[in-house]
Amino acid sequence: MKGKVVGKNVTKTDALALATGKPMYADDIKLDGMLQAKILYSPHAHARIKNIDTRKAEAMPGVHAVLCHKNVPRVPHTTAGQGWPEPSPYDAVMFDNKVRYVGDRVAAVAAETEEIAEGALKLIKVEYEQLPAIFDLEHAMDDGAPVIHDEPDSKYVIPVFFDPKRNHCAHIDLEAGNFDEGIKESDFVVDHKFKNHYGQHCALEPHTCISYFEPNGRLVLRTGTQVPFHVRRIVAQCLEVPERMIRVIKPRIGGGFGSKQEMLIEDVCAMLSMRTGRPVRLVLSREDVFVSSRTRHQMVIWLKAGARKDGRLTGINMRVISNAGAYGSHAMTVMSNCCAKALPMYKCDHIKFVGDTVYTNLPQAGAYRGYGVFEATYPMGVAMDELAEKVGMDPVEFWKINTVREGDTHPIFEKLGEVGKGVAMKIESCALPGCIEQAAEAFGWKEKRASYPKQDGKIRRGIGMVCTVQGATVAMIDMGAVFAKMNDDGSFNLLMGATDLGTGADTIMAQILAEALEIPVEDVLVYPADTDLTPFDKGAYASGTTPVTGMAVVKVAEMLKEQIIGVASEILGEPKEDLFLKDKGVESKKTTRRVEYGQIAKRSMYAKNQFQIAAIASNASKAPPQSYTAQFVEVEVDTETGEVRIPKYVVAADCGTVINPKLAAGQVEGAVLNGVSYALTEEFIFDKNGRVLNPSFGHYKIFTTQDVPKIETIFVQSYEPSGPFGAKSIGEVCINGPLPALSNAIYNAIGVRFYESPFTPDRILKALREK
Amino acid sequence: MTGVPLPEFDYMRPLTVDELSAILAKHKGEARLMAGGTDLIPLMRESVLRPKYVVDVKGVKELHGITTHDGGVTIGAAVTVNEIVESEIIRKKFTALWSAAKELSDQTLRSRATLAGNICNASPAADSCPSLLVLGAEVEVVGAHGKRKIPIAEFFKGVKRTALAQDEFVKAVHIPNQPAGAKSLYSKWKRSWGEDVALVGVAALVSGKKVRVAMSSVAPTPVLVPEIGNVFYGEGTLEEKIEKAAACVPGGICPINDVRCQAEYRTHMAAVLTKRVLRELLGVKK
Repeated sequence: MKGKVVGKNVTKTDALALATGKPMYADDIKLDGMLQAKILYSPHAHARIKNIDTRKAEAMPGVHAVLCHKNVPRVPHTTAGQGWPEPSPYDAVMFDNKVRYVGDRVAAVAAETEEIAEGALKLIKVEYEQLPAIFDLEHAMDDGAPVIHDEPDSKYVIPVFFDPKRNHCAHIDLEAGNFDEGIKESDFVVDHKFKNHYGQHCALEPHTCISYFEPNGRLVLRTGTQVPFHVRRIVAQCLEVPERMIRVIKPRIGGGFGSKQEMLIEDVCAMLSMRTGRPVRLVLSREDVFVSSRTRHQMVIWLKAGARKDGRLTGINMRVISNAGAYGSHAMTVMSNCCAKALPMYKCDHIKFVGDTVYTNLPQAGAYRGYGVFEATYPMGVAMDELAEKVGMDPVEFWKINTVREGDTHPIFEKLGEVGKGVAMKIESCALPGCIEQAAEAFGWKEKRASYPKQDGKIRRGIGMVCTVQGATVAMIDMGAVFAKMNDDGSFNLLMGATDLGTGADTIMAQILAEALEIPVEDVLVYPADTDLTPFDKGAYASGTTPVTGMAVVKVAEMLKEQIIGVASEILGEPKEDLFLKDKGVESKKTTRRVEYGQIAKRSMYAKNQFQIAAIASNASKAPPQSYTAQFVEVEVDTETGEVRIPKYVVAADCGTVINPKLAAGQVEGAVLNGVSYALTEEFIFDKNGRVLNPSFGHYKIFTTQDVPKIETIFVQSYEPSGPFGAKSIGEVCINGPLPALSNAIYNAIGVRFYESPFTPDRILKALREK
Repeated sequence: MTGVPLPEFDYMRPLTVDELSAILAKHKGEARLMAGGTDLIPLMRESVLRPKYVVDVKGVKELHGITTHDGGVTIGAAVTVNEIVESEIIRKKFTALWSAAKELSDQTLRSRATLAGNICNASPAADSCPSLLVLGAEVEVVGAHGKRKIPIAEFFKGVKRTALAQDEFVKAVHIPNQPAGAKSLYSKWKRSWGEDVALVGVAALVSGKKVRVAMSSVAPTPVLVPEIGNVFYGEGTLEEKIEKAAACVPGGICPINDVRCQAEYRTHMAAVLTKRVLRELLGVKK
């Protein structure tokens, strides 16, 4: 679908102000009397705090408050910014008398300056009783393993499995069809253990919160969050105050990628303001972000899958152990998505899934772009490649016949959702076959496949492909609402709780409203995400903003249209049925007479039958519409150095109608770079005591703009009836590809399959030697 | 480190070498020289260094400029790395230094960073140092008791340690003219294709049978591997000699394991880069 505004490269609404350095981020304001907060972190992976003496720190001049487990309420909660009741265990408290990983919170200080605050941290005397720690996720549930959550008050608030005495944080098992029967029909079977690694989101803006009191005594949190409404709810819970006492304002955000789908520092910042009555600023250092915010879940996945001679999949058996780290934020849902949102792309009647999430004494995992689908696409993508080879089929063909089409359904949809049971769903939009064909064509797959087997020399070229999927929204839970009103000049304010975290969601919503109301996009004034002023929105996660909030904008436009036409009908004296919106006015089909929005607005405000043209609309997700991609990558592996270069990367994506091609392409390229960087260079390095040894950009290497491979993006549009103008999501689906696609391409180049990430030069060299 | 202020210090900006000398003689251990500040400021921000006086050398005219003369080229202590990249004479005659300058950090940092700063910081990973070693550079040093020249090979004393006394500073780096036909090059191994600290850096100079190879990131200081030179006076084809040269590498270095790289891979890559650089300079195709 192409419209007047939808489908156009509209400039981001915040582009100019951000590019010219206007003060728009959370940390860009300074308030009178603002105190600086710092957090003391645990040096031990597992220890009980026998005693903590904060007297010297409190006595230090310039120090205004010191918090620790002795002087704050103990309120078990989850930091996961999810819908209520949250599907993550209530296993965290603001400060505890126990620390569970190196980097866990021990205490916090608010002082006149950062230097004083740092100095005060050094004066806090903590006596630890060290406990044995467990770092290996495969042994976390062993008999006799140290129990990380031995406190009596941890619990889930929804009825699901939880056995903290065995470090067993979540469990899911299910079967669709009968795997044992299905696999019997296989002519070829693959069966491997896969493992991915710890990684961090590396949003350029660190976690930042400034809290202050309004004159009326309410507490304002200006915070870089993906989930302002969840933050308000969870902070109120932790502080034991009513939600009405707290207002959360989300300014512009410098990236989140899931790390800000958390109530992560806001409770501490708010509590320090409560104690001091002063504005408080809390900004994590880069080191803190690496160690003490959130990470990707490390998983071990055993995958067994089979195919018949004709290439059809016979069965998939996935066994997952996921490492939550010390706390269970997003622990169950990320693991659940390994099945719920990753497997419904594969045409297969017999699927068995067993997943366990365990606690370990390592940094806390949380939400991270891809959210379980990423972790499961690695084994699935590699297994598909291997099965295609065993069957003797071109992977392009193999993927085509084994993936879903428009009109299909899938047994997993009903069996499992992100949270508990899923919903039956027919796939209303799917352009995956077109994606595969167009990407293969643009990539030159056939020619390369024919010529690459005959290579010698030190540099070996190889090609690989995968398909990816990402179901958007948490069905039956996620809701977004928007409010819009008309101004004198016929422009509109669009107030929404949706949270643009740098992705361009504000711009997309403006485009949708502009398209629906026949106005130029600059006539939409977006005001996002302020819990006092904008309606509720679940926040930015689960690829949900365009499908959920976008549809609320379509609905609000419909309501406004009715009111606008009503007024126009009075002015023109013509029946409503004859009137339609055109170019910021209303025209009559019969008489071609016309009235401008400005006239309509002024009449409704000042003249006759006065009322404010305005509407509020809500949209709740009923099903998780799936976006798809086909990704093709070419690598050059230097067999002398182990280096992997990427001369070409082609992505064809089906995100339904593309509302803004440039922003969508930005999401594709960003996700590919994000995934490539994770696959080839990024990793946490721990010492034997669980300490992160490389928490800096100098030591934890991420690719930058200078490292972007040549990425070609193709959009193959479908039309999703449940989405705004047929649109689906694009934020996450692309990141799921690079890890398996690169593994496949490296195999094609050098004949070694990598079942464990990352694929760094030294590991590739080692594998070549062991070949 | 958003918003973390630098520790307090007095900023001084002398205008002559004599003035600079006097300041150093007076404050010695309490003063730190700053040229580009690209190493100093981060260390101060992290409170690794807390100098009482920061002495900016950029105001000293005599420290500016790249001058050529009969003996070679002299690079003042305040000359930025980008000035070196832009120098035709350095690109043509001292290619190892030029290619190292081009690989040093990124464009933005290079517009502040200086060659003198790079050697005085004495990081084992300093990009310019292997090139200076193969080119036989000399460091012109001024101190309270006069001037002296230190051969670059004697300048580095350990990780972040140099031969400079507390009252001494680098005035310039001299690079002697190389014999006609001499060619040199630097090659750097990184974790990404953009900016990164060298996992290994290798510089080589070839002049007739004379071959010199030096490396960074493989020992506490940038090091020459003199054994390689001997190989090329011996018997065999060039390719055989290159292989022999590479075989000398593990014995000539002592890399460490760190969070960026394992020693084993560093050793391997030092040998690979040695071969690649020598092949390039000797015109051996493979």
